Amino acid sequence: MKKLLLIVFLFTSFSVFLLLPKDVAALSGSDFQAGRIIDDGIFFSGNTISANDIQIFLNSKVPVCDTNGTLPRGGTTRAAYGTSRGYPPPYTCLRDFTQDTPSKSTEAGLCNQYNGGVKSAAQIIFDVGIACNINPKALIVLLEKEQSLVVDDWPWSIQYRSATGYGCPDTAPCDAEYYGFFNQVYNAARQFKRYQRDANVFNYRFARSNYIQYNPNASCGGTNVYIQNQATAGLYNYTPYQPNASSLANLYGSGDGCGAYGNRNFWRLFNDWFGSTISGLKPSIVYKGINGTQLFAVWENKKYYIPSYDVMIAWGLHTQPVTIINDQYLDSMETGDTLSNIAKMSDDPASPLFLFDDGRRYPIQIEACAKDLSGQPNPSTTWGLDCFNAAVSKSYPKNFVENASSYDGALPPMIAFQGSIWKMEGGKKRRIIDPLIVDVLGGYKNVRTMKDLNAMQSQGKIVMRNDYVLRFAGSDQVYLFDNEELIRIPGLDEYFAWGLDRLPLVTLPAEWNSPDPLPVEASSLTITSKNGTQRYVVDKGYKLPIDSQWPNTSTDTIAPFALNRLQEIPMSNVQKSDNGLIFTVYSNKLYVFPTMEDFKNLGFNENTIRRVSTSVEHLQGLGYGGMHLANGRLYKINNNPNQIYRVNGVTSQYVNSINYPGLPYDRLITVDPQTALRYPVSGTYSP
Amino acid sequence: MIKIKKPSKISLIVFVAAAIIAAGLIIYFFQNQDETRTNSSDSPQSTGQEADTVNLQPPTKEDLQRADANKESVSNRIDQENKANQQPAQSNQAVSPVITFAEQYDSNIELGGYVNVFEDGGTCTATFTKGVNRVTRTNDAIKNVNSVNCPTFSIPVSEFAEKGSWTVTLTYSSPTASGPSAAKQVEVR
Repeated sequence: MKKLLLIVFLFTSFSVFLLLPKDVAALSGSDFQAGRIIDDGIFFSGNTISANDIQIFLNSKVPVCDTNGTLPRGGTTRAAYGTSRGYPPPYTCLRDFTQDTPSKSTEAGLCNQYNGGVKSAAQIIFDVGIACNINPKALIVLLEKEQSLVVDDWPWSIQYRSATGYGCPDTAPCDAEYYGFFNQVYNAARQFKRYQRDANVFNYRFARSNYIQYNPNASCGGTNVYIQNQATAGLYNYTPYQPNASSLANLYGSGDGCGAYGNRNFWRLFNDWFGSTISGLKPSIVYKGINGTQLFAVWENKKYYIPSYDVMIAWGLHTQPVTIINDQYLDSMETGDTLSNIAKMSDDPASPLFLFDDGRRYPIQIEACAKDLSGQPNPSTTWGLDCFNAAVSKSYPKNFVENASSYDGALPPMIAFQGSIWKMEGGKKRRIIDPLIVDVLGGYKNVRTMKDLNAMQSQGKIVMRNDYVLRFAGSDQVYLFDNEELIRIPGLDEYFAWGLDRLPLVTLPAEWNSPDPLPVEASSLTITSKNGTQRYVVDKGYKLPIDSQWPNTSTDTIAPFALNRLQEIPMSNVQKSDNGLIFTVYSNKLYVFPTMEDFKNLGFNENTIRRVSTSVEHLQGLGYGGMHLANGRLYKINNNPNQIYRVNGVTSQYVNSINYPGLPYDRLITVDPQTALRYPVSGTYSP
Repeated sequence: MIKIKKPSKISLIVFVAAAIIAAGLIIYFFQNQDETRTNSSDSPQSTGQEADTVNLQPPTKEDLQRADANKESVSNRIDQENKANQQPAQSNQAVSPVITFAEQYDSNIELGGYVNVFEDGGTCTATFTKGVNRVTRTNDAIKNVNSVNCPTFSIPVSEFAEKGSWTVTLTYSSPTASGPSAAKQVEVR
């Protein structure tokens, strides 16, 4: 029975585990970044949720509104308590709240036109968010952090009066000028835009270190916080305190007497209700003055001019939104080096020079530079980079470089650009035609996509491997590519003789070869070639070594054509001439198969026979070496017709009778003495 | 006589376990359906952007506690405002401005700060001293959300008679409030 109870307990536990809520908030105080409470891209984004979805959200947070205050409170009812404080029922929850709102005109750099009318709270939040380009979710969180208006199921009118805490200092009565729900929401959104537009006016500024207290009580202390973005600077301008350690340790409660909860609660509520306040992207560092036309990367209150879109791409800044700020504020920043695609870290003596591309940085090896350390041109340069030109090569602080770009390996030998893979060589980019070349150069792990600026090297010769037949579009001329040069193929005879029909034939765009064309061999391909002193004739994709007497011309008339191809194609083994003679060539001598029976019995395959073309008939010049005779062949020698021999491997035997059973007397052949010498007699056959 | 065989103990255990698992899975299934429903929007006007990240769960215990605590704050504020309305306005409230940054940026010394009062008409004065040398600037304070902001002072380094560590204080002055900040050191390079 105990076992039964144990099992029941285990399975009950299992079921309870299944019933536990999923996605329990995993937010921790250690996730809070004082300098990056929320990213600009999230905060300054008005169109993140519809008015209808806001309404659904508000409904979810107050399932039942205690309109009449009937629920208990402190030994009495909410209605009675509220009445005692001057706020009798009925109570209107935010989800049910409506207000007649005034229209607002556009203010440059702040909010666009807002059209008034009787609207629900959800619609007001949405419309203000759109008009001021402030995330309505941030406004919802603001309403909750200031007055708990989102979840309160019996809010008092005073909570609407100061809904976002605007104009409501802790130390003095609230300012009637800002009373009212719409006024509060609109002015709060407008103020965040004001912090952005007039960033140099307010006391917390992004991209610099700011002293932020933990509490209004200065004796609680504070720390210097590097504020990373405008949205976070805005939150501190709105609520000038950061949470201390005790506030973060008890994220859903209170800390010690020095705690402050405004910005902590903003961060926590946003995370819990709407997801992360941190976008996957790094906060934007691209800024522009309201009236200016120049873009800058801003880091630690220093601005770096972005001279072109190409450079912007090189640093990967083209994917970041541009933050518009006050011109005067931008002007007041210290100016650093103009941004460049080649730079090193100014404050790191060990820093290599980097090439920047699409937000990645690649350390530059000396061989990638167009000049060596002594300033002399480097003919074996790979990338041909202008490494030592002060107008190109710049310096930036290490933390700027490291934050603005991610590290990649050394500059790759190949780049992907405009749909092709290119080999960087001699300061040029050479288009790779064959994927096998990529493999030879280390494979695609050694390829990096490069943007325009870093692929401006002039176009070099195409890179392809040997054993390609190619033509360029618009021309009928076909070439054999052999050892970095093109050899014209004059006709089909040469095409087939060199076995080119077995090679890939590609047609390439003419422009691929136009800026830096491959050299073309002066003479067209012929069926002869030589490698050193050995001369060959090619036929059917096989080569035949030939002696110096053939083809009755001097050795010099045979040009060394297509040496790679010559090396590649196999030496011919068995040939068959036009007159039907099947033979092999060895050491400039012909060895003939007298019958197909010998050919086959010696283990040769008919498929290996290479038919010798007319031009090879000139092989007559080769010497005669004898015949190939198969094991068991019966033969006579033409100078001794009375003796029969039988081939026994590499020797012969006398056959002294014409009546031995089983011997193929009907296929007896006559051979020449030269053949007989190849199979010397060794014994006598006995059946 | 036909005997009905009594189920074995093992059979009973297996049966009970299977029944519990089945019940658990059924409840889990229905709970998931509910979560799916509450986390998605069927709004025809939905923008579709990030709608899935909106948490549509009812308020948590902490949410409700916070709302309750806020009621106390509101109550206190009512008392505070009532009291303030009955008393004459303070003529010279002592304040202590907070310097949020004071550093050299490029060729300027910049200083920012705020004061925990909420009013118009005040001025902020930054006073830098080093020995007998003194640099002073005054700006009109501007109202922020709940405080007044001292707009950034930006003073060319050339106006500082010597390099080195200067002491700066930020002083606020208005018909109703005044006072200096804690002193801070600024390095002039």
